[in-house]
This record gives sequence, C-alpha cells and structure tokens, in this order.
Amino acid sequence: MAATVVVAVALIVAVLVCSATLLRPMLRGGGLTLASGGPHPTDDDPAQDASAS
Amino acid sequence: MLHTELGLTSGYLRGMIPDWLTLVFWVRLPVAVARLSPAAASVLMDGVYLVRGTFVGAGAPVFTALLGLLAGARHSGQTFATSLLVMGFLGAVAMMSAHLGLLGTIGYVIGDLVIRERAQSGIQESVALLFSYALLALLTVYLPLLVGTVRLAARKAYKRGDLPLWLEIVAAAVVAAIGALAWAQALRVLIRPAFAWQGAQVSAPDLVPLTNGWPVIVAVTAGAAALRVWREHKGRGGIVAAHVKEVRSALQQRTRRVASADPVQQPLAIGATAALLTVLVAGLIDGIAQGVLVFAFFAAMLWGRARLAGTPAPGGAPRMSVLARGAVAVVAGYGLSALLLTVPNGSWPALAGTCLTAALVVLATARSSARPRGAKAGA
Repeated sequence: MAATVVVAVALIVAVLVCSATLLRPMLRGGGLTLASGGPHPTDDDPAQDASAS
Repeated sequence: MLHTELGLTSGYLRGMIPDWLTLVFWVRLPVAVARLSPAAASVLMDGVYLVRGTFVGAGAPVFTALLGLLAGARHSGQTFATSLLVMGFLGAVAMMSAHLGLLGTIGYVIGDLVIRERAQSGIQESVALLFSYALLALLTVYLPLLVGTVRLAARKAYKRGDLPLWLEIVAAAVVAAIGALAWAQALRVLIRPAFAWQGAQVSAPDLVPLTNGWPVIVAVTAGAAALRVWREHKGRGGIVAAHVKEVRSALQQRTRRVASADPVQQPLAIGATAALLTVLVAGLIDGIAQGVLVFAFFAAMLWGRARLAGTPAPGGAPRMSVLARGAVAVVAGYGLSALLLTVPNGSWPALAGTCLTAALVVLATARSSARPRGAKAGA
C-alpha cells in the first residue's frame, strides 16, 4: 500500500475529528450560502463594520 | 406575488413549474430542519445562489434527485466505487451545492436499494450498503461544506479589503481538489468492507475507476468548485434576499445553543466517535485485536484533543497558524508512513501509519493560534 493512501485515510479521519471546529463558521447563520445570495458575511456585524471603516 | 417575495428575476416558465416547490426546497425546508439540526439546515441552504428563477429553483433539485435515482438503479457492480460516471457526476453536482449533492445521493440510495431491490438483502448486506452510502456522502455533502468553510476563512484572513475573485476561485478549487484526491485515494481502502460484508471479494478491476480514474474525479470536482465561486459572484444581489433574515435567524438560534458545547468532550461522545472512526477504517483492520487497539487509540486521541482544545500554545513555542501546523503534521505523517511501510508485517504498518498520522494532525491543530496572556506581540 502506498504512503499516499495511508495519509489520505488519516487525513479523512483527522478532518472528521475536527468537524465541530472546522464547520462552525458555516453553521453560524448559514455561512457562505446565505452570504452569496445576499449580504456579505460581515455585513450584519456592527463591530466589524466599525473596524473596517 | 411569490416572484416578488423571492426576488426572482427570471420570468420564463412562470406558472408552469410550481413556485411553491422553489420556496419549499430553499427556504421552508431549511427553516423547519434548523429546529432539529443547524448542520442539516446549512446543507439544505447551500447552493441558494442557483435560484435565479423558478425553473432552476424547483427544477435542479428534482432533476438531480432523478438522475441520482437513475444512477442508483442502473449502475453495475457492488458499490458506487465501480462507476466513475456516478462518482464524477455526484462530485460535480455536490460542489455546486451540498443540497443538490444530498438529493443526488438520496436518489442514488433509493435507486440502489429499491429499484435494484437490494433492500431485500440480509442485515449484513444492508449494513455494507449503508456504509458505502456514508462514504459517498463524504464527497457529496461533507466536502462542499468544507470548501465553503475555507472560503469564509480566506475572506476573513484577507486584510486588504475584499478577497479578489480569482483568489477565491483558486482557494475553492485547490481545497476541492485536495479533498477529492484524499477521498479517492482513501476510498481504495475504505470501501473494502462494503464488498466484504456483502460476501464479495474486491478485485483489481472493481477499483479501476478509482486507481485510474481519480484524476477525472479531482478535475471535475475542482472545476465545479471554481465554477460555483464564479457563479455566486455573478449572481450576487439578493436572489432570496427577502428570506435571508428568516433562515439566518432560525439557524443562529439553534447554533447558539449547541456552539458552547464541544460534542466530543464527554466520555460517551468520545467513545461513540472513536467507535465510528474505527468502523470507518475497517478496511485497514485485520481481526478483532487490531480493532480494539484502533478504538483505544482513537479514544485516547480524542481525549487528548479535548484536553488541548482552546488552550493557547506555550509562550516559548513558535507561533504558527492552525493550517501551517496541520500541513507540517501531514508531511511528517507521510514520511513516517513511508518508513513504516518498508517493514513487511501484514496490515500493521499501514494501520500504524494511519493512526499516527491522524493523531499528529488532530493534536497539532488542537490548540488555538491565540497568544497566551501576557505574551508580547512579535515575541
């Protein structure tokens, strides 16, 4: 078996373990999907708006 | 009226295809599901940029499900892994929308189980099929969400204003390509139990679509991910703007309740997750003793991550981003695995390489990038 296959399996295990942390941004208000059809992800964040301006 | 409500711009076929179907697929269903699971609702909202008219809004989900049904009913072989067309089609559709990827997968499952009459098989065969569907869902549901997460992270990390379109396209395509490559390579091993539990042996021709066809899977997946970013930017302007607040509110209410608790910190959750991961890598495991060892290793790894999660790196340690630490761990794991695989000792070297590489990545990325209190900037 090639090392590439071994690392690929390990990577899938690791990404699944980290799912809760990794996908949290997407779960906050629908993430990118809503942003792409309407406002930018940070558009409704007053704190970020203030710092950006 | 509904056209105005949805902000639909295209008037063709207006009235011929039920408008309510568009609303059901892209707004009502996600809002209803958000009460049960924000993750599932996020999947159902993924791809809302496609709704540029009732034809696509209602037609794309229906056609994708029907094509998935056809693929499930007509494919040959024990699992989806024997068909490059099925993997390529579902991979490309999923990159355009996780919602469509889910519907395509559900269609495939119904076609495979019901039309091919495989639901009447024994319990062991049914478990094997369910296992194979879960592996398929990693590509068709999980990977699109992961690509979306990386895009969000890239937008936030870019300090010089809005992230340029070309950079976002490249980021999405690269992450989709790496994900599809890892999935296709890993599947050569992970899919084995789906054959074995059905009483079939995996032969080399069965895996030809994976061993020879992986560049096709990677190319269509990355291409679809890039196309999606371009389409999203082109379609920006509030297609379902009237409902964005409603859906976002439904998701946020639920997310706030679950966000505070890491689901894999409790002993029971650690045990259940370790058991699921052990089943996932069953294709590498040879015998009960190895299975027990792998379960114990994964449980220890999850416990270690739970202990480290959220804690800042030690003051003297070099400050690296989570992504950089993960990349270093993968390279180290590759070297370690290549070394272990030179030892002729049955399935042990591959199993050890997998477990150690996974642990390296999981533990290296567990700590936050935040600087400990009191540490000077630039230290």
